[in-house]
Amino acid sequence: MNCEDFMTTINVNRLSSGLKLQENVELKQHLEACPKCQTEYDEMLQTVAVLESLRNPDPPPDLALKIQKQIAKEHRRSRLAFFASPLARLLAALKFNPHPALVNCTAMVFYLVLTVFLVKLTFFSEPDNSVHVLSPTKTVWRSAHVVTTSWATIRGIPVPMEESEQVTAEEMLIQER
Amino acid sequence: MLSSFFVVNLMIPDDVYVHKTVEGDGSAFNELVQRHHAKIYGLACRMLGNPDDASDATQETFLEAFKSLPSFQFQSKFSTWLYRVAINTCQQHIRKSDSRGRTLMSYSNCLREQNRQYDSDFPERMVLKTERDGLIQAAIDQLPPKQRAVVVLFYAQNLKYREIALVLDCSEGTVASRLNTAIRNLKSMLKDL
Ligand SMILES: [Zn+2]
Repeated sequence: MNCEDFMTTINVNRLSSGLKLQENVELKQHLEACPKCQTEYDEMLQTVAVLESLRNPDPPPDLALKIQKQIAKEHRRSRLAFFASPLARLLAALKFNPHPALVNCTAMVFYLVLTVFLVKLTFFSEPDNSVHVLSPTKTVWRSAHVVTTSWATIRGIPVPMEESEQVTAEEMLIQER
Repeated sequence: MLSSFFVVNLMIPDDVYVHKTVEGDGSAFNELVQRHHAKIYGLACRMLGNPDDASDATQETFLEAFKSLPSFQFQSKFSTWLYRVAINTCQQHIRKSDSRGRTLMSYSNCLREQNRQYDSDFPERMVLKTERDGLIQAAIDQLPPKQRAVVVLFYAQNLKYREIALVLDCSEGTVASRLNTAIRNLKSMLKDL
């Protein structure tokens, strides 16, 4: 056995598992005959002994709690629907943390109401008859009514106006003059 | 009563808590944090050589584990999988960290703080132990990350070759040869201890 054989045979596994060289006659013989390998072997044994004395530092006492809080936050976040996060942020800013499902529902209802409102405003805002109820001298209301249909006008939708209404409008103008 | 609860609790395998967490029970993960945070912190401390980075890395490890838990296939033990997440997190830290300069210093401080509690009656022993541990850590810090991981998992975490191979996704032969190389590298640095 030469030095190279010796070095490949004494691996860390052998050193660490307490299997020293005693049981291998060939290795033992080489070791006794070769001072270079003897030194190498001793140093490796020493290094292994130092490493085996390694102990793990203890974690800071509050680390587990910190992690658990962070996980709880992440868990909450993951259960919020994507559309509910602005509402959740708003509630969190107000120091109010309801159940994620509740936040989701509230956000959904909010968006639903908003959608209905917008749809109504865009497509179903017909000129109403409320103006007739008002006193004909209050032309301010009349002009306010025109403003509410401006969106439809911009979009090029002809705003239907009944003949009788046109007449009343002309009459009102005459009255004003 | 309380002790019997603890015994029962400890007998429940990790996988049960993993299943519960995946099914949406966020508090089940708390038990996994309680069981494993100390050794993950120990691993991170030895891998990064710095207690502050180790705390951060431990938190990131658990957060990442929580997020990717649905992808855990139960092909290995949960702890093995968690070690893998931790090693990856530590290696990311090593890559982007330029904190090697403050490593030894802050690590020694951390140990000094800890040992003060144990060895306050023997100040000399305390200094010796701290310096010794600091020197070992400084030597480990010099190793390339792959060798460092093997040394830390084998000596500080007491994992078997087979488990290390699973954590690092390599063969047992690779583990053995990396460990041999690491020991030869450490030999000259630790000669005087
Ligand atoms: Zn020789």
